[in-house]
Amino acid sequence: MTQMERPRTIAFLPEAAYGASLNCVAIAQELRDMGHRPVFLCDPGFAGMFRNYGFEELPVALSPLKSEAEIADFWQRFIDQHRPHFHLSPLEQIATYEVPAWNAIVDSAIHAEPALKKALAQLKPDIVCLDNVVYFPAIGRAGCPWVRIVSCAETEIPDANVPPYTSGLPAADQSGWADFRAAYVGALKPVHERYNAFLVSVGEAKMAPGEFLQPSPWLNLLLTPQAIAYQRRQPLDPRLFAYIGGAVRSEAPYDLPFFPKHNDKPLIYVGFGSLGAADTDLFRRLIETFAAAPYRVLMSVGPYKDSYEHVPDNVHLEYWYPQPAVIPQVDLFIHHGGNNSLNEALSFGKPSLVMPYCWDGHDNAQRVSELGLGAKLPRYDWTGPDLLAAIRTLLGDAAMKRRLTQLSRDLAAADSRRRAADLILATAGAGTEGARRSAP
Amino acid sequence: MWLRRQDLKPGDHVPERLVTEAFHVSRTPVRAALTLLVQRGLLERRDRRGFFVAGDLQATADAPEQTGLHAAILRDRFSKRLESEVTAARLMKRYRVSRPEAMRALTRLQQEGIVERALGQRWVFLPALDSLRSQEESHRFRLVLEPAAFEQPGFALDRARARELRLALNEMILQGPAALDMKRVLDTDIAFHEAMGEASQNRFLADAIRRQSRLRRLATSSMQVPPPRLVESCREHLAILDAVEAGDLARAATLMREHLAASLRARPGFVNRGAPPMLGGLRRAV
Repeated sequence: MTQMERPRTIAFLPEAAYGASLNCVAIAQELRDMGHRPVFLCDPGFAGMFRNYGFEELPVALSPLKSEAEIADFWQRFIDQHRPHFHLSPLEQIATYEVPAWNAIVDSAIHAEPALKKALAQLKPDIVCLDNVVYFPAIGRAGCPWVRIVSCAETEIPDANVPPYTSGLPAADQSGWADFRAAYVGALKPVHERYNAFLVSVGEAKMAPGEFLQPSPWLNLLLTPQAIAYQRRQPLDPRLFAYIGGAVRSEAPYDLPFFPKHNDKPLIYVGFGSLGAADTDLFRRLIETFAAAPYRVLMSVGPYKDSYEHVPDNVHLEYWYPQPAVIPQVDLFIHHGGNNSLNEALSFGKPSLVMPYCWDGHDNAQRVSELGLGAKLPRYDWTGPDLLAAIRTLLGDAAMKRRLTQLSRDLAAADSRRRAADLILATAGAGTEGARRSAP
Repeated sequence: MWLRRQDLKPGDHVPERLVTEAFHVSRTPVRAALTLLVQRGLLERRDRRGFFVAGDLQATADAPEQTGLHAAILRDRFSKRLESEVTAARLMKRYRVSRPEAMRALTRLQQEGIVERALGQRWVFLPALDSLRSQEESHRFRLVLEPAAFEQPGFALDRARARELRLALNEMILQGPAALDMKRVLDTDIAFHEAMGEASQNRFLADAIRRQSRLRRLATSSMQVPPPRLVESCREHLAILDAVEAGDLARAATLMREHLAASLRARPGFVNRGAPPMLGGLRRAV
């Protein structure tokens, strides 16, 4: 501890998803190394995960579902219902996927409120870090500053010159933007009204149409490297917003497996996130295509590993990989455009081939391809030769490799985890002095 | 394994009689086994005087036991490249080996409890820790089994062994999560659990724990436990040793139960914003 007089208690409330949880782990690891006390407020479904990384946990249920059977039914319905929707365009996904997802998000915010209030009163943190897409009134009333961690694509913070959130539309062509925005706000109107009614019921002001979380009046950390930021019409106030790049956690070293075939060929890693792994048909198509290609391929297949047989000699399946320990060793990362995956690719200077299927994955797919840091491929509408041609192009693009290497060096020098930790601590200090309380 | 525990030094005599008594078998198989160890360079045979330790038996604990065809079969089975049933012909074709080589590998796998002979020319792979389901089953089995070690009449932990375990555990705690050697972590973990099994003085219980250890060693795919959890697990082992040495075996059993339950904590299989995380997979495939 260098600059602090006393250790700070820093509460983290990540949404119950891997991306948010794991980048909070990265920032918390840094804070712990500096002598502070990070505590995770987490859904019981995630209980143990943060403890396994050596952190304290306080349970806060983000869902009313409790029994294993209820949760299994929920997921069976969820997968059955939404799998066809992942074939649709971003515009079509607003009504089919995003509206149900926002309803679940609003439910979680309403459900969590009393338990969260209690947990915060018990913990009395110096600062709360919220990594979510929805606002929890208990956090604003915890009597300490709070930080918003923006761990989706930068599009989550709107601007007239930034493509609409989840649209996947190009930055250089605004022709589809207005239609998408109108469709988004229109489709979300009922759930937004429901959320506003909840806010009013607890004495909070309503939010603007389409908005579920405002910037923090204290500090907002965008997990986006400055180098890929959009040119905003209204630049973000640098006192309140910081582009910190990815917060990549530390993991144990990963030893590559031996591949009976092509053991000396370029290495590709395929990870589509926990939800993406449920699409076993897609994985089978990929495995079939890779079987005849001159590469080694690591694939993250989640709990479905046991449903694959006859795995080719140049392919290795695993339930889960410690991605930050794997990506430095690969030549290409094929992912779904999750913000953590993109940040890991950029941090380690690896090209991305993004095959998005929902949410900000569309935005990140578009962004890497328009900036020449990777390419995008439709999730389902491809042939084996298309996929292999895209891979060949990316592996052979020397100029892209140079750009990525430079970006990776810049990110390493910027030390995003340390910067995030320093900003959080400075804000926690400002809180005790009763500084800055006005909205941005 | 047994020889290693006898604390023998190079040059020490290994009496055949001692081995026959320990394993309750006749001299013929014992002689065959000791001759195999001579071939591996661990023992030497001196005319008429019997078998003597040739090298450092402790050092062989870390020597790779899975080499060549045997290792390739295990690797490929665990990687879902080999089917759950194989024939010698299939192995001969895949690995370009002779029938005797394939049969030798299969026989060794059979002795290790990895495969079993089925009807015809087929060999079937037995449950191993090669799937999430079997890993969970193994964990739950150990949760039933291992706390019971402390409840066996005559439970007694060898002091020297306890001291060795403490040294190894403390060393890893001092090293901290960043510097852990994963192989050493597994070796120490297995040594700890096997020591509790043997201390139970119940040979069936000790044997069941050893069988689980063997499966754990063979598992090529781990659950990728973050290092801080491994250090926490070392602390839990120490707390169990404390309870044993304080004579509080009921507490040792409770701590063992908690320790195994904590290690069972898995990452949720499904998560999505706004949704309850789900442990494990779905009942119906998608």
